[in-house]
Amino acid sequence: MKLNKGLLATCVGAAFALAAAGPLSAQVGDEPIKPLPLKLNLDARKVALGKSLFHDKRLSKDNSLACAGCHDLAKGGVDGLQFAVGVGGQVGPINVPTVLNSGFNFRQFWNGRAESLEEQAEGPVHNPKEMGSNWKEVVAKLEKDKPLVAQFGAIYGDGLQPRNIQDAIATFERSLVTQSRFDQYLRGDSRAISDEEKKGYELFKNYGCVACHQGVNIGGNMYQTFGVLGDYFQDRGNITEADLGRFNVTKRNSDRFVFKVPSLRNVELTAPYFHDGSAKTLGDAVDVMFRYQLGRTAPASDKDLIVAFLKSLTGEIKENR
Amino acid sequence: MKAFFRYTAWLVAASLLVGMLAFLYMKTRALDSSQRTAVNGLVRDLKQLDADWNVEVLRSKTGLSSSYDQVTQPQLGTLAAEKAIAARSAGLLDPRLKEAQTQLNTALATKIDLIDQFKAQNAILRNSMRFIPLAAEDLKGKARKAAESAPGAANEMLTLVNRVDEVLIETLKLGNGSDSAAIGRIRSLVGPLVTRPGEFPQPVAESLGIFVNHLVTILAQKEREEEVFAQLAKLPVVERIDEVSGAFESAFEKAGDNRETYHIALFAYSAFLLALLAFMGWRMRRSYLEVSRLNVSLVRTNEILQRKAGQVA
Repeated sequence: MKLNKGLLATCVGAAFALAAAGPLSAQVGDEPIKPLPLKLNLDARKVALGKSLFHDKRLSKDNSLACAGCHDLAKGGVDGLQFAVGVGGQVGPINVPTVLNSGFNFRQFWNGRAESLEEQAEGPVHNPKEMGSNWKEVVAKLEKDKPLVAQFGAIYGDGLQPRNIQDAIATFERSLVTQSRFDQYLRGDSRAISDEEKKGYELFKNYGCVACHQGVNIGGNMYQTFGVLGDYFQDRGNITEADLGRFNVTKRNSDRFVFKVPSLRNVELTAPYFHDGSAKTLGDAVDVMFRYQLGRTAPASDKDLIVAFLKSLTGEIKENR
Repeated sequence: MKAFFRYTAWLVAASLLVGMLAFLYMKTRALDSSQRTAVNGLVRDLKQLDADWNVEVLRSKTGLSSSYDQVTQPQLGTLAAEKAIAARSAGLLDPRLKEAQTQLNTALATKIDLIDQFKAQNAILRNSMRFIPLAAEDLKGKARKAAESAPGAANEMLTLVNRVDEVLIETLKLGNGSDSAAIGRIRSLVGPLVTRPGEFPQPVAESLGIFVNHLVTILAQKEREEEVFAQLAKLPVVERIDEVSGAFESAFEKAGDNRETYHIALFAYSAFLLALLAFMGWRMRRSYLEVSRLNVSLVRTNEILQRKAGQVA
């Protein structure tokens, strides 16, 4: 019997695609995206201290810039600019990543060079294009603030120390958790998001966006090459050092243009998008992702639905839960 | 001034003697069996965490895990256990143990790096494997349409459809398995397609471009997957954990032997201190008796002198 290869290919292909796509209706228990935890058990005193340090301009060389200067909590934890602007108006090489929900990222910075939030907190303080200071200077300034010194003394056995500043800021940042309507949906409230957003979520999964943007933080748990199925950097041109991504950390050729996959939580608020801040709107960002990461086309209506779903990821800050 | 120096010398000597006693006492206390129990427990935990981690990687590879959080989280537990072992055994100051810990740290760092590579590779592979049947359907549909609208090209379009079916079946068979021969076979099948998109009508050429792009990606990622898993399989994490455990045991035993020596030294030193105390006590008693004898003599002399003074008066 001669086997009809076309029919076989169609059947096998369809079965494979269906199996890979998973069930069409949302089974909340087995979703690739998980809801944020409701409790974190953080030390409230450290959160309060970290909050005041996060907003303290004395951490910068000329007392002009606090962490909150670039990570504006009212703007989704970013500054809304293409590139970071540091002390003296110096423009940095990269877009500011959001600080919201950053405690759920497996590494910090676009190129993942910091293993933890504590390690990350040191980076901007020392970066000459960001806060342009150092711990010696910062500690010398903070030591003059007796109530602050007392606050450190009450929490940490060794008082005001660089590592304790880092610990307090990191603890505050861990408290910046934004529960969204989508989290409610994942917890079983089927009316928390609209039908349009549900369709968008299904498309988000079926088109494969979820391959990288999954887990509790909808990203932030892996690295990925920017331009998997198309050469993004050749098309954009003018390649900078920051574009090399993880290569700048490992110096390995296979890590060129590799970045930490960013979280999509609050993505509605964090424009412009990507490490180069090149996508001005969420629609533009989705277009780029389809072209260079998914290597496929989609009707505009599907992209609009995906954007609608992404907007359901916007949440409110609930500190110290 | 002389008295001051004498007192200072006494104070220094006493401090040295007490300091030596404290040192010997600490040396005999530096090792306790709970340390060994704790490290052995941590080694067991580390092995279990590592094994669980491997299972999560395989679950991810076979598509059983819905996110990479499960593959990412064990990293934290593993590193925490490794640090706890290092902290618990820091007091042993053994070079072999230190070297074994460095080797373990390197092995774990390599594993973390390989798993990071795996996640990136697996996400791309899964997406393209999932999309390739749809891309093939789209391409075949357009080829059939082109064959209908241009009967002269019908044969060529049908050949294309057959070739796409063949490539698709081979690619799907590749699935979760690893077969470098199959990768080569698919490459040879797809080769002629890659060079010819310009010869086809535009809609067909566009779909063919997408199909081939994903196909090339699948083959590249499949090869990368094989490389990553080959390296992971060769990575001696368990051996390194065993080496740390063995080095710890040996260092602990050595420290135990040292402790016995310090016990003996403490005993001897305590005996010496007691003898010193007894000698000092004897010296003090002798001094006291001498002073008493002199006192009595002085009292007597004083009485004699007073008596004589009274007679003179």
